[in-house]
Amino acid sequence: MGKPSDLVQGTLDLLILRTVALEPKHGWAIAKRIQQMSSEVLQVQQGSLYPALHRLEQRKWISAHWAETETGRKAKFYSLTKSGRAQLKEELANWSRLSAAIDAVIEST
Amino acid sequence: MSFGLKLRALFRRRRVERELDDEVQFHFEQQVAENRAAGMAPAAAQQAARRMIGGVAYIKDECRDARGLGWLDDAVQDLRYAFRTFRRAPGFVLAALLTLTMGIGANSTVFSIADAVLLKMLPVREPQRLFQIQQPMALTGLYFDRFSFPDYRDMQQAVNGFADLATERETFTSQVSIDDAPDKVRRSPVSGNYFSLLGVRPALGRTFAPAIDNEMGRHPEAVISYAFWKRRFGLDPQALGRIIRVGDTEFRIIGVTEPGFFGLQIGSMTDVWTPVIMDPERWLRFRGRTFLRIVGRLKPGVKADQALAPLQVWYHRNQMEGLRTGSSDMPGSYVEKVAKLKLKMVPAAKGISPLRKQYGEPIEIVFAVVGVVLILACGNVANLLLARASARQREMAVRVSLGAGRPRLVRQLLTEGLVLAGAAAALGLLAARWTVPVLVAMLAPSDEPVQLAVGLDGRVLAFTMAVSLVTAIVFSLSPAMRASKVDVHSALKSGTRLSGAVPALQGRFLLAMQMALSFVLLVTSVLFVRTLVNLLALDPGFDRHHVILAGVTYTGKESGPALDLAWQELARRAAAIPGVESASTANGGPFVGASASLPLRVEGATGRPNLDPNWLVPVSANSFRTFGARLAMGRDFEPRDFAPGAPWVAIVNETAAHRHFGNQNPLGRRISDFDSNPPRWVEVVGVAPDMRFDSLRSAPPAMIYFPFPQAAFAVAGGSPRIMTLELRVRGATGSLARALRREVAAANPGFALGDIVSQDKLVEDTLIRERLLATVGSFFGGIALLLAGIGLYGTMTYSVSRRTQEIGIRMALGATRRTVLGMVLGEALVTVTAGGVVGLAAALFVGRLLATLLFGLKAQDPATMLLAAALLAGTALAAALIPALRACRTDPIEALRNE
Repeated sequence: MGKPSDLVQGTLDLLILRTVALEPKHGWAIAKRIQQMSSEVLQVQQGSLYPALHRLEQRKWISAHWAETETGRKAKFYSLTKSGRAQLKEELANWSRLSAAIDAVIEST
Repeated sequence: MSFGLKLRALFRRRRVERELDDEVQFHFEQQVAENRAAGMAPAAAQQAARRMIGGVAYIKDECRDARGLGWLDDAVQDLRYAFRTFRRAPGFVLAALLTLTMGIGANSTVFSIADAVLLKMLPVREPQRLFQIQQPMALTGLYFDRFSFPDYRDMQQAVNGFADLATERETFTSQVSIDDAPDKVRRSPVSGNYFSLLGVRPALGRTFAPAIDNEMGRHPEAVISYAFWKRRFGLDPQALGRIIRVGDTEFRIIGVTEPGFFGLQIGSMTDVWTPVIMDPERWLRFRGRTFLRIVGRLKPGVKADQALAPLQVWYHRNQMEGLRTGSSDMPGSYVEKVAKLKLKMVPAAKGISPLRKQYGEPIEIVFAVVGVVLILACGNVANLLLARASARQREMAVRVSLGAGRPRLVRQLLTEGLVLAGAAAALGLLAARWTVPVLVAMLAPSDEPVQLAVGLDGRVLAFTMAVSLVTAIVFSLSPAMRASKVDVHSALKSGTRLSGAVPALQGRFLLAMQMALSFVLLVTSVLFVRTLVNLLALDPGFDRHHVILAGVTYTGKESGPALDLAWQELARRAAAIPGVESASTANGGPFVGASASLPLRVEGATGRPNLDPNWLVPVSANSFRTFGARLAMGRDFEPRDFAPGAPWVAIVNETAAHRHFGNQNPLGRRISDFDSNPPRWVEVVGVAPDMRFDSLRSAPPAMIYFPFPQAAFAVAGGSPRIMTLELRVRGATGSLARALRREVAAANPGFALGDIVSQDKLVEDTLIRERLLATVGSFFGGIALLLAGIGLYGTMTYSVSRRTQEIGIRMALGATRRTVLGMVLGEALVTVTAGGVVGLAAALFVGRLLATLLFGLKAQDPATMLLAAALLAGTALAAALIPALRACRTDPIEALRNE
């Protein structure tokens, strides 16, 4: 199917969880935030973002509610749940282990 | 996510969809706002945003998938689509639904009866540990399941430690009065421990206490069934304490059993249980009165053999004691025979059922028949679907080009199949409410119906669901695979027909198989019908068509010669009724029964005596005349034989004459019952013809007839108190009952007239099994023929319509109508013949399994095969003729213009 995604499979989940860890955000803000934090390197495609959000919601790692944005428009805000926080911790640990391993391989060659 | 949540999500789909829309819309607006902020014109900003976001539908689709609703959502969509398709093809739906309803309904019907009779466990505690004890009959070696009350008490002692035993008397219709209103109930006397042994708890009140068995005649209590409580008392708790009066005894209702328990005998439902110790004391004390069934429950960890061993020891001792009190010059061979007799223990987990023995095999056969009908129905629907699959090729192609995968198409078509089968199952179950009672009624004579706990229970429901599921897969999978294999390009290219040959071949294979199965069903039904016809036409050795029987009981105080005279007076008066040609009385008779059986000795005989039983029937004068039977030798009984002190005389039938006298003349010879010592000699004065006695199928047993007042045979005869009044009638018998009642009362006030029944009915009641098989068999044989015909018609019609152009070309090239007709009929003929040949082989094989059920013809009977073949060929011809005629009316110009 060739999903338009610049992200390694699975890392998007981690980024989303990390992004909503501090405060509830709507989809647009999440995408913007990831883009911003990565200094425009990571472009989150809508075709990946929303399915991921819905998947995470299904797994009860994030929860959604409708609220007004600063402009008065209603939007769907996502926030981290308790089990989502645990999942984030685990994924972060996995990530550092993985990136350390990759670093080690790259540097040794 | 749990299924429940999914379901909720499904029903809140609208909201979820709206939210999804809003969310994507919000994103879009944000993007537009950003673009505007970057200085784009409104239109350009919108366009750019749209480009960035990409396919909105795609995103939403992915989100839906992520929510895990996918398959359920699809299923709902498939269902909707199925219903929409069906609405467009009502003719197809009607045909398929009718066919499937019949197939599934027939299977559900037969299953619910087979389940009740053959499969279902008794609704009691641990039914696997229940057993019943049977004892052999000394002379025939056949087993029967009745014991005397002293036997029961002995066996309880003997088996103690290995099993618990309880006893019951077979349920019978009992005249009672409840609250002084006369009523008929099905009653069964049982031992005190009966309910506790079975583990049947009371729904109300209590059941009998085991200890009451030691207090004969002192516990006038009754336990009633839940169904009876509901029927008679409307579930009123006040039923407790009410009185059921039987004769002079007032039984007080002490409890109601759990719902679902109707006693141990399948086919008979008990309303009321009374303690067996309330039965007449002389019955309970007499070892010769064998009227009780014994059931037991093995103790935990005990094997059946362990429990049976001590009972064998007791039985052997008991039998030997019985012999010692009998005749002194018992031949060694007889003693040996008796010494070898052994009790038998049979499992009773599924209840006690004479029905099972009698109908087990027929029910299995009927089950097989309806199974075949279901296969035929599946074949027909599959054929319909195959034809439809070709018609739907364009639809399928459109769906594929719109992005539906092949699995999705197969699933769609399977869903359609499931909807059809599911609807047919529901209709079939509905129909079963009427068909089950019809079939149950066929299991017994109308005046003593079988009572089966059949109904729409979980097992029937589960069976029906499983059957319809399998059915749906069977009939729709292959057409679905075919239909989904579309070549999009050629299908959409205005193509009229494609891949025609393959489905035609598949369809014709299916058709040949259907023909084969129909042929088998036809052969079996013809075999069963001819069996029934043969039996009905059989000469039983007497004229059964003009004989009416009436049970008469004497309740007066007379006995001996006075009573004998009363009986003779009764026969005389009955014979004087207009329309009655001859009247007689007998204690038993053909298809009524014998009063006793015993081995005989012959005066002056040398060599080993024949100890097989001879059946005894005490008769009045004219009995043979009443039955239209002429004596083979000697004389009939005369009035002098009925006088007090007349010399003992007997008439033997041909079988008995041959058994005891070989080729010698039996007239003037003397016989005695074997056990009497000294012998009580009776002179043989006549030889009666062999008259079928209890079955039309088998030759009669050896019979001894003697004048009813004579007490020559210790076990029978001597002023009987119950007799059958036998009447030979001529013409209409409308007012016979009234005349009989009058004459019976006039003959002696002590006489009471019982049931009046024709000899024909008695004889034909023994043919219930044959009638069941012939009726059900020919009904489904006809259905099978119909299905095969419809299948052939459908396939040929479809094939002809597909070949319109080909036929047009042939006719344009000079083929005559006759050639076209021959071509189409030939095609049908090949299929039918192929099926018929396979069917013949199968029918020969199946026939071997049915051999024991047939009468007067062999399973491989050529005439039957020929008849079945002719029926099949005729139907096939009729079915193929319509499309063949249509084919030869093809107008070549019309046909070719469409190209």
